Amino acid sequence: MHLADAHLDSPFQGLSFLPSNEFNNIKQSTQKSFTKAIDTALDKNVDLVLIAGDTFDSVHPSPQSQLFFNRELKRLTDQKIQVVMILGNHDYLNPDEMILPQTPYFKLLGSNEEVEEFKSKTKIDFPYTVVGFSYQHNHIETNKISEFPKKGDNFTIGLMHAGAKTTANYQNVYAPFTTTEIRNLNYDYFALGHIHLRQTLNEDPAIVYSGNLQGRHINEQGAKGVYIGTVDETTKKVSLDFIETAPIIWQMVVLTLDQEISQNDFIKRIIEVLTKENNQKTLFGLTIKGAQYLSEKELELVKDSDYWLQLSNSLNFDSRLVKVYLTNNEKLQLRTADKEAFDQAESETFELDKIYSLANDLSKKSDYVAEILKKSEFIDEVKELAQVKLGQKLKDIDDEVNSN
Amino acid sequence: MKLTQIKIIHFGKLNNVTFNLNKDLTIFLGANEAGKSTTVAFVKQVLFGFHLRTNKSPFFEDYQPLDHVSPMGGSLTFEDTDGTFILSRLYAKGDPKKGVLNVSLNDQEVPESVFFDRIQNIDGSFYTDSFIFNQDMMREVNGLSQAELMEQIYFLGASQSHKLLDLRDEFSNNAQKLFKKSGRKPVINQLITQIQAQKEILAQTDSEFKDYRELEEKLIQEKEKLKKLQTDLVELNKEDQKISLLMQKLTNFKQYQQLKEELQPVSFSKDSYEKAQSIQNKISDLTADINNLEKQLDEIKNSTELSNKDKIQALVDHKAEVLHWESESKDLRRQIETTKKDLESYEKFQPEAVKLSKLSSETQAKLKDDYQALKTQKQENNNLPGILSLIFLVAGLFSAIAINNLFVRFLGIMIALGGLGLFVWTKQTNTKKSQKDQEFIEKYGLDPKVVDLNNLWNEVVQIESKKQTLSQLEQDQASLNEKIQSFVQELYPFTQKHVQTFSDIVNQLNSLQKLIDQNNLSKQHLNDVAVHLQEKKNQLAKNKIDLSNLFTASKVTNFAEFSKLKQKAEEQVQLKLRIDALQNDLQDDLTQLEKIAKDPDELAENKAQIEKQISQKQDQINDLHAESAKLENQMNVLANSDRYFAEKQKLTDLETSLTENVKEYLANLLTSNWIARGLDLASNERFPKMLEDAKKYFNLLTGGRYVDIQLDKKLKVKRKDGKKFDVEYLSRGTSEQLYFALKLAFVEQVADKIALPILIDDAFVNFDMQRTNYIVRLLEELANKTQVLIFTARQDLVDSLAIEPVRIEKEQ
Repeated sequence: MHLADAHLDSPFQGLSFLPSNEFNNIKQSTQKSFTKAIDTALDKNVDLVLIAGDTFDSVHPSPQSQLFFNRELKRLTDQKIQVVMILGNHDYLNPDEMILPQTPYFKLLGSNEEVEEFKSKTKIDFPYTVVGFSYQHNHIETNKISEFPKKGDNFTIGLMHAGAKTTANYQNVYAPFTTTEIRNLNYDYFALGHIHLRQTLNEDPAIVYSGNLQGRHINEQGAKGVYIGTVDETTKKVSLDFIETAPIIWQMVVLTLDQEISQNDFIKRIIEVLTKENNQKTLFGLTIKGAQYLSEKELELVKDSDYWLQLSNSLNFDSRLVKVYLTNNEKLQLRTADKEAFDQAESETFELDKIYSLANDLSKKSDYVAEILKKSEFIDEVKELAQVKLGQKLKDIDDEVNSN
Repeated sequence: MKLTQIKIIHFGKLNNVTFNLNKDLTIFLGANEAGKSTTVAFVKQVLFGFHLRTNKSPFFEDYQPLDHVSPMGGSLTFEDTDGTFILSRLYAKGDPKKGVLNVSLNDQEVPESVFFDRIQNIDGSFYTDSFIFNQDMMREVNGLSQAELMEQIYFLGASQSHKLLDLRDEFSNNAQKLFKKSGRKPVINQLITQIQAQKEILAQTDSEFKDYRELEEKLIQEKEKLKKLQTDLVELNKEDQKISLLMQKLTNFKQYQQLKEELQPVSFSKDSYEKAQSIQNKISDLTADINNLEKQLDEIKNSTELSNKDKIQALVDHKAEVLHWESESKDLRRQIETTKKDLESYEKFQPEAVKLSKLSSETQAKLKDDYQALKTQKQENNNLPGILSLIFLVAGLFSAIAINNLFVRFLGIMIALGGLGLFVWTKQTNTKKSQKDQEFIEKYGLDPKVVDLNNLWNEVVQIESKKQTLSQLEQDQASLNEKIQSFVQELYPFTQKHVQTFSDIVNQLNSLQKLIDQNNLSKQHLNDVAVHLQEKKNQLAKNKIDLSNLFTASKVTNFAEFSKLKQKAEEQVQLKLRIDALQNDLQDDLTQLEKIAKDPDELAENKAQIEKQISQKQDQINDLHAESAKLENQMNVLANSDRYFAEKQKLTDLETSLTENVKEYLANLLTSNWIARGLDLASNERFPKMLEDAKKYFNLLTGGRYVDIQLDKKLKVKRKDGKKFDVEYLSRGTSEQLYFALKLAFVEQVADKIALPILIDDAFVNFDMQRTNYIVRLLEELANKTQVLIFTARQDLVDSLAIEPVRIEKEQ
């Protein structure tokens, strides 16, 4: 079993408006998903469980989480299931300060941040090696792949918490690698953690992110869980099965408007698009394209979290609408001459530097704001919101002129 | 467009005046009240109408057109690339108050709009505000606001620009509501503070696990401490027990010592004692025997004293006689009874005889005779035929029935019949004889047929004899009883007992006999006892001597003492046993105990010390237990705490909220800026340019003392030294220079769209020479771009401009 990024203790984003009992239910999903993963390992009686880092959300995990984790792992080691674990950039804990199972069936790999080999055998004596390292700092800027040893005779698994190298240097702080480098190691399987989106970087040999165990905000969408890799002892080929463990998923849906719409029809259409995607307990984000067609009242309504709760009553599985994005899919309604001026003004004012200078006072006051300003998605959202705001207002002016 | 000619027909104090103007700079020179301001008013009112009374520009309306002159008004000639516009406005009675405007282009009448479109359809107040400078206006510098200036500028740009400006301000306001650079109340400011606070809370919560480990560590240490304390406690308890034991032993030891002191030798022979005891017993037995014997002796002596022994002997000797009397008496009684019974039998069985015996002798004789008579008759009576007849009858019937032979049967029947006949005959004969008998019965009560009187007579004799016998017997009995009674009386004094029966008498006689026998025996026994008694006395004396010897040997005077001696000896033995037992018990500790016994307080002190330590340890253990429980509880709380998550979640919620609000804030700000920029661009960026120019002009006008103008909600200026001032704190001159700078800059910016002349009416009164020089240079520069008309009374100004002035002369 390959699992990663359990992020125990991790908070959820954008759910503060939920009633507390509802939220309590959701917050347990992180541990529930982990328990389900352990259940799965026990159920399938796997030979090896790989934990690819970020098991805890921070270097100060709560005792509650540590005890929970230890309890769950003990269920595996009691059944003589081998567990090999590394620490990631979120949980770069000192192993001495952790509650870990004291058994040969548990191995914390490369705990001094150096690449370490762990050799063992499956229940039917198929020998294997796990190679990997743990974080002891929040950033690792060096290329760790070069430290990985040459593959031996054993079936060899790489275990790493890392992000692929990008052109933005400031991002290359999580043991940056290239797929080619890993491929060149020619290991039989490479279990990665860190990126929360489940993905296969290379088919053969398999280089895989299993993704995180439970989505915590709208940008962590879809089914979350673990990979079960079945190894053919003769060909040493790995076949992967994804097992969903997250009890709750996040999902984004889109509603496109191309004209003004009555409030009743508007609500009907929202419920329609949500219901279509609602197959299990889901926390929905909704993008309304053409938001400029909404009246001021509809706009207020759709931004009101109380109204989201009300809407969610029409959904099965206790699913909820938890976020609404508005986008403007039409250019501003202005005279041609003015439009040119405003288009030019848009391209000028929407320049990143301009936005930064607008936010300067604010980002000086808050590191957090300074951080979110670095995210292009956030800037895009600001821009989109500005477009919707102005578009909607100009439409009002236009309406006013026309009705006059 | 350039104003090339002003032609006044009638306006205020001016009549029929024509001014030809330079296309760049024209200076009107005239004394006060010459009509400079009237000319300024004329230009404005011909363009925008007479009597325009607005609040914004009250000053013009002081110059009422002279309505008594008709027609009032005149014309303005403008030239531009398209040709020559002539605007003539006249007012006559009946016209609208604004007057009637005629516009011609190249001498052809055209609609007003042909002209006004070229100046963007501005109104009079716009023109007044922007193009006319005079003392009154200069004072308005405080009222200048970005909004107004911009509105005026944007008027030239985008359509709906005022609404866009409102929008821009609305967005800007909304942004301000969310965040202020130095504020506390706006949401974002609050959130930032809250996040900071929450981070601190989280930092404290961060340590939950560290705390947990510390608690765990502490708990382990405490448990170890506890273990050690408990071991110590066990040791101390052992020690304490040991001391307790010693203390207990000390008591025993003391007892041991005491007992040892009590121990003393006693000479006591058990054999002697036992002998003495047995002799003592013998003596008491002997004494008892002697007493007994003496008593017996006395008794025997007493009993042998029998007084009338002979008389008793005589009575006893009559015993045989008495027995004889007894049998005689019995015999007599029996005979009397027998006779009485016989007589009773006669009464029962021979009542006739008894009856007869009771009759008198004569009657008896008569009876004898009657009976004799009757007796003879009776001999004839025979009953034989009757009996025979019955025999025949029976035999005949038997033969007739039982025998088969017919003849015999017949014979039987015959015999039976014969028998029957004979029986009947006999019966009839007997009946006749009984009549005489009846009579006899009635007389004597006797039935002669039944009574045989002869026999009866014999019986009577018998009865008489019996009666005589009975009488004799009763006489004998009485005499016997008399004899007995006298003997009993003789006996009584010796027995003192009444007698009833013969056996009583015999018994008493026997007792008396016994008494005599005993008396005889006792006499013999008395001797025996006396001998025996002497024997015992001898034995007693011997034993007493033996005992005395024994006492002497054991050094006691009597048995009681000897017993005491024995008890003492036994006590000493017991004592010895106890001492031995104690010694055995104490054995190992004896030496130690001897030492301790000398100073027992030390041991007690020692014990107290240890007990104190025990209690201290116990307290420590209790404290540790409590402490451990507390730690475990704390650990438990931490282990079940989701506080860290909750605080983290809270932080995330705050951050999410901040993100949303920042997004909203930035979107508002961005939109606001976007609109502003859009308006700028649409207005050809006049405002920023104007501001740049204004700064430049202000700098110029103040000779470089002021370097910047900030035009926001409120107007501020920055001095060379960096200090910022609100307008109201500037000197009048400086504030007028500021006004000039801004207005001129503005006009310059709009000049391409609104090409109207700037009218400066005595605006430099307060300017000193140096400032005037500055402004002159500015005006010269300005005049290159737009037409400027200066109205002044100052010759020095004219001189410094070095152009020929247009003179306005006062009318005569």
